[in-house]
Amino acid sequence: MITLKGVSKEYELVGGTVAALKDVDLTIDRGEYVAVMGPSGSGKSTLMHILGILDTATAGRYFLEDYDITSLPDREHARIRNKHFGFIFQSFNLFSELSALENVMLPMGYAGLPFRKRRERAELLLSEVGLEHRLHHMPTMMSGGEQQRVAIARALANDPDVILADEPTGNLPSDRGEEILKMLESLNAKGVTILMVTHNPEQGKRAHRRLLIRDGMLISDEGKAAQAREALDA
Amino acid sequence: MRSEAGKVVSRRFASRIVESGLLILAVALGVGAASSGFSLLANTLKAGEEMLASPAYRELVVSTRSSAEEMTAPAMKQPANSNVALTVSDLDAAELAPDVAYAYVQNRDEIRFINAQSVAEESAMRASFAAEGVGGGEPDGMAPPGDNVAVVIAGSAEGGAGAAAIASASAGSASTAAAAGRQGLFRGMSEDDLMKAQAQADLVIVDFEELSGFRVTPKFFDAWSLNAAAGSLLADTDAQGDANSVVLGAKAAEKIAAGKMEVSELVGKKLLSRQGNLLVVGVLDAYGETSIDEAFFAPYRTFAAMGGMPRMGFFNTMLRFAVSDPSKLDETADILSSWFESSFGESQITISNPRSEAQKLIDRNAGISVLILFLSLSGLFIALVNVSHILMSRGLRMRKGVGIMMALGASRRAVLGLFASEATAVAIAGSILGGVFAFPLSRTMQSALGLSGGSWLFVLAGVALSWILTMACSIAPAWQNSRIVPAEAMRAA
Repeated sequence: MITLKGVSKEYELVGGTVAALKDVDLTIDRGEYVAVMGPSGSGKSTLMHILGILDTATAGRYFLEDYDITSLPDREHARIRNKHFGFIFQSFNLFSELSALENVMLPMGYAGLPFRKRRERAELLLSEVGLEHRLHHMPTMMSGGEQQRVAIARALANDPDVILADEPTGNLPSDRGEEILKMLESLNAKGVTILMVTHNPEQGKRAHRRLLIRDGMLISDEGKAAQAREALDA
Repeated sequence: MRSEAGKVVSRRFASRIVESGLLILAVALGVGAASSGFSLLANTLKAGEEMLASPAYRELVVSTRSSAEEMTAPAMKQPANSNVALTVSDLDAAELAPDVAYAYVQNRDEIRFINAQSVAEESAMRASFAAEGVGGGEPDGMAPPGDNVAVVIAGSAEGGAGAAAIASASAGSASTAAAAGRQGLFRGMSEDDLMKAQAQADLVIVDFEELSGFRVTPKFFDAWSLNAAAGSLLADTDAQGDANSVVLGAKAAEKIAAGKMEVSELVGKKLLSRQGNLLVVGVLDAYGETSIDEAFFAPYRTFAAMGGMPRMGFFNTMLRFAVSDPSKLDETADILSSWFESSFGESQITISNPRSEAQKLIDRNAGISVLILFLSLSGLFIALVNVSHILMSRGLRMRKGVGIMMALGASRRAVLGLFASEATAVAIAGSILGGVFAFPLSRTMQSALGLSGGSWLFVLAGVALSWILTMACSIAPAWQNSRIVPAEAMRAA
């Protein structure tokens, strides 16, 4: 579904150029549950940003469903993000000015859905994550776990193909974190591709595939899918 | 606003109400000042054009005084050189100046009407003098009926505004009395006389005491493009003969008619005055200038036409030479100056060009207006720099939120639209409030420069122009805020 070929990302700093990613080749199939792991500064977030088209690579190509989207204009990238990707962040990143319902409605507004349809779907999604009684509450009135569930509902607003989760349990206690992981697994079971950045090896083991990044390079690619691919290549 | 993204911006705007209010106020003050400055300059230039379009600024005034302005007061004055006096015949100098379209006389004068109040006051005065045992001494211009007749010629003699010559005739001198009657003499009037006058159908008793106006030669009406709404204008024959003809300005006629009759019915009627019975021969169309509409116009009559010496050297007359092309004023002044110098000698005659004085005033006002505009635009610029800075910093504070919006599918264009909406709202609110400031501010500025009236359209135009500048300065930070990379924005704290 997603293919990166020779992708590099460099940043120009005062003292010189920093390579955040170096010549990464990566293929992610539909329905995979992939954990991206590595030490701080290894390039995990950069890789997630490239995958989520939140940033553009300095070199290399990006294929989505075999279609090269590398050089598409910004509005097309925005449309692809809106239609195909959902994001879950470590710090939830909900808008404090909007209620839970309005936060979930936001991405549907960019998709052009009319107000009534946005509201109805947002109500449905929030009830699916167990927050039907918190529709009009502001994020500041919610616990971390509840906010992350709102974020999950928001990520699912436009029925995306891929969920990118950057340390989704990082700011949550373990029991709440477990709830979130189970939700992600449940979504994956329904066919949603999950890409999750995590420091936690235990969480990484729950993924089908584990990518290890160090110093901007993909060091290892473990898991069932990886093995199957190697077998095919062989 | 139904858009969730719009709600983010509007709720953030409302949550920082003090900052948002100061933002709008800054725009309002800048727009108000700038639009007042625009309006002031536009009105100043327009007022200047209108002023110079008046016939009063397309003519040269020739007098024996050092300044033509000194001749505006309707009082008898002794000229500096009593041997020099200008007469109607001096208007012939116009034949030497090809650019002179009209040459005429226009001297100030007053009519004093007789009515019940004035008669009562006179009676009281007579009684007072009688009680004091003052025999034969009369207040100026007044005499008991049947005694010496005091002849007051106000403004009708050569010498112009309000000049008076007093001659007394012995009682019973028929020729003198007749002559006095022909010239419009004042007669002390009793209440009985007044009642008899009121019974005359063709005589109008005017309710008020005085009316200011002018003694003119007929060319005056041509020079000022005046037309009669009723009756006719003065003719050359009105300056001779016995009748005291008068033409009334539109508002003067309304005041005299006082709702008792139609204005046009005044034509042919006589007005009872101390100068005699004045025959109304015409009423002018409304001209739009107080000096014309509220005035009367009587024939300028030379002292010779009244039986006096042709050139007494006692009164002063101002001659006016009007040109059709104002650019020819200086050239015409040179020609007239040569002629009058050759006729009267050097330094005896003054030629004044009211247009040049008016132009100096207009230029001064325009200069002040330009300076005020510069200062007000500077104020607008400073305000807009601050507004732009505040909007930029607001955008920076919202940087992470913008990154999240982009992650959720907002394009740069959508983000630009969001910030632009905020900027537009600030610009519109500030401009409306600035417009409210601008109207009284521009009126105050105009009053300070001695201007009145002025079009409110200039204020609106100034507001619109200032709004455009405000939008330009506000959209720039919005555009800059939309150029961020989502990944970098989301890394922001």
